[in-house]
Amino acid sequence: MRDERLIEKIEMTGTKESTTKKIILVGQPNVGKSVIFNALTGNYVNVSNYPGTTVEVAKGKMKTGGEEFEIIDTPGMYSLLPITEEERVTRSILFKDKPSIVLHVIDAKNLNRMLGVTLQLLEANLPVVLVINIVDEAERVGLKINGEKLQEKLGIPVIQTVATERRNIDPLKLIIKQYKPMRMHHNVETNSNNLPQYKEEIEEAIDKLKLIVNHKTEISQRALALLILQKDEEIISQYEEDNNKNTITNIIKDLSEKISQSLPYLISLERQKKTSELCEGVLTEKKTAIHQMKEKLGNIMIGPITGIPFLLLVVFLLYEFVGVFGAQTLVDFLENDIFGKYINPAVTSFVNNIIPWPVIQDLFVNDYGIITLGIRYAVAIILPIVATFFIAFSIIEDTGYLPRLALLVDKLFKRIGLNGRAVIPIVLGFGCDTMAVMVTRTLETKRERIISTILLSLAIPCSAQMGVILALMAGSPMALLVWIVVMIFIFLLIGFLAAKVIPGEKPMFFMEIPPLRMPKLYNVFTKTYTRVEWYFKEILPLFILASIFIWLGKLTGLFDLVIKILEYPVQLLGLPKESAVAFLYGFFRRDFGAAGLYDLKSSGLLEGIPLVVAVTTLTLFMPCIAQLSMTIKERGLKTSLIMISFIFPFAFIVGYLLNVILIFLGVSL
Amino acid sequence: MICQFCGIEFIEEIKNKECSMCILANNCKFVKCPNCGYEIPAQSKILKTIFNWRKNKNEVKRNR
Repeated sequence: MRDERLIEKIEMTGTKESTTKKIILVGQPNVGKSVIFNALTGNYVNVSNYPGTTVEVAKGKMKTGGEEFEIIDTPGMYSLLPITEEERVTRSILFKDKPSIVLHVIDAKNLNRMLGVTLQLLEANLPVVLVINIVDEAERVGLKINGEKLQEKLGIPVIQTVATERRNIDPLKLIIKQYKPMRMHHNVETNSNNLPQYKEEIEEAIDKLKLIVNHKTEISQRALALLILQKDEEIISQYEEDNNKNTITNIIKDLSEKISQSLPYLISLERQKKTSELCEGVLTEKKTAIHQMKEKLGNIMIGPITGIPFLLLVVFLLYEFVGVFGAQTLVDFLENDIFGKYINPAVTSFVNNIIPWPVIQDLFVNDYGIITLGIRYAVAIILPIVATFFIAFSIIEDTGYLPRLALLVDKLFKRIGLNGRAVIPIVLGFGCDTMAVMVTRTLETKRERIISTILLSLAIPCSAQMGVILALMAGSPMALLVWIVVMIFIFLLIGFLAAKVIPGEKPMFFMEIPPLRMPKLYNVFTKTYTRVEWYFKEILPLFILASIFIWLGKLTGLFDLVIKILEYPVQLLGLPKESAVAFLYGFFRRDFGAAGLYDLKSSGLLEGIPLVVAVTTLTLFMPCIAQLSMTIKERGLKTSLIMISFIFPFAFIVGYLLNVILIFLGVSL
Repeated sequence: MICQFCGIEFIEEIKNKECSMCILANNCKFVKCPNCGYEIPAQSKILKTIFNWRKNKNEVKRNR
């Protein structure tokens, strides 16, 4: 332990050239670097601030076989592309201190994730020895690493250690003693098969940059070029003289125009692919009873025969938690007890006392006031429903069920002309349709983008609306079942028809499936909190704004006129004319409209067939103003107008037909 | 950060190109996966402050 030892604190004034061989320890935080450093150096170390920073760097000496080495323990580093000051210091030491050996220490449990930095160090042409530490813990969770095979694949010395027990520390010293550098000259291309090859466009840009990157360090030109492509300001600033800055800017700009995704991401993706390749045959996992159980459960979720009943079970649990507990128990408490008995009477009395003009009173209280309508809807109706939905969604997300659901519906999607990738925006739509529309741009063909946007606008309820729908259907599972069947039917029908009308190819999609896991309370809590906070901040101003619009509409008489007009189609659907108000709210946001329907249901005006018809019609509306503007932005005004002119009449036609069919069949809900 | 949808690991700080196009980007609390577009909620500032405060308090206790 460092605090038990003699630590000499000095201020470093700079790095001195010395003949002693330097060994630099690098790695992510908590991989046991310092324990290895202590095991190698013994009792005497210097801890000093790196020049110009407050970052501490520890230095010590190691003697082995009569030879002395200087060991430097660097701060934790996740990548050669630095984000924190600690990472910047570590990179600076690596690039400037001319190390004889770089000991890259990694955690055996996270071999796949940590090899990415090894690849970056090798790309930089540094003399790397890979130290796989904490192997005892990896063995305990059933992981076994074939070090020899990895050594063969990487072409560098690899050793497995348990530094806390000093296991394999002496062999490590021997490796250090016998290490023979096989370093290439800095301007020689790193063309090893063990290193990632990037997209053609990126490789071309690297070649162009290599002409600019000269002999300033011993780091490979390829690594420097890669850092420049990732807009590393520190590296770019070293090559700013003459016309280099403009040339660099132009190379990056040209490349960004050629590729659609971010460069740091594409580069790290290739590295991940390479590390996966390296781990093949190197990393074996002993399947425990828990692993086998997870595998079986995963297969149940994906298989079409077992997957659909499993999905129905998930929906049922969701319904019980959100629709029954959230929407009945919690809403009842907040709306009737808190708002009904305390807040609304107190605020109404207060406003009426201090504001003598009824017109202004109506803005804040009474039927459509900001507080009695806007805030009540947001806090007493939407908040408990959405919060319970987000809790359930975070649990589902944390278990790893979502990608399996994507795989399950992928087969279905292919039948309606969409590829598996389109599953992502559709599934995301259940969270927020606005964001999901934006994600459709990741789809490869224009055809897929349009079909997905139509389906999102039409048949996918967002989380807020989903919660309110579950709440509306609470106590009537048959009504919920009818709604689900109708929505699935419309989704498939429109998807199928759109795929026929809009011709095009069907590209392939690949996705990695993360393992199933038990949800962690901390994750569920933070995700739910963040989502509720975000949602509340977004909807509250909109609900208040809607209340103001309604107040203005009532002042000018426009509100009553629109309601009068809407009463006709609403009554045609077999709904009470009072529901016209909820449909007007629905034009602002579907969940605002759904909250209006909830109000009607609570007062006994909406139940049975009219309830299912109203909910179905409202679900088919455009979700909200934000989603509409996103659709215009993504698909253009013309396509969006065509969609709108289709969606609203279509919603009413479906509602009308559903009402007629259900009455004709004599369905009792 | 690992995407919970597609399993790809990425650096949280890498801004997705699409985000700059979004009308809600300014106040957005989500980190978008650059591979599949899935949105992962970033920890809220209030929670971060609470957790950091608790962490510091525990560290002070340990050092004593």
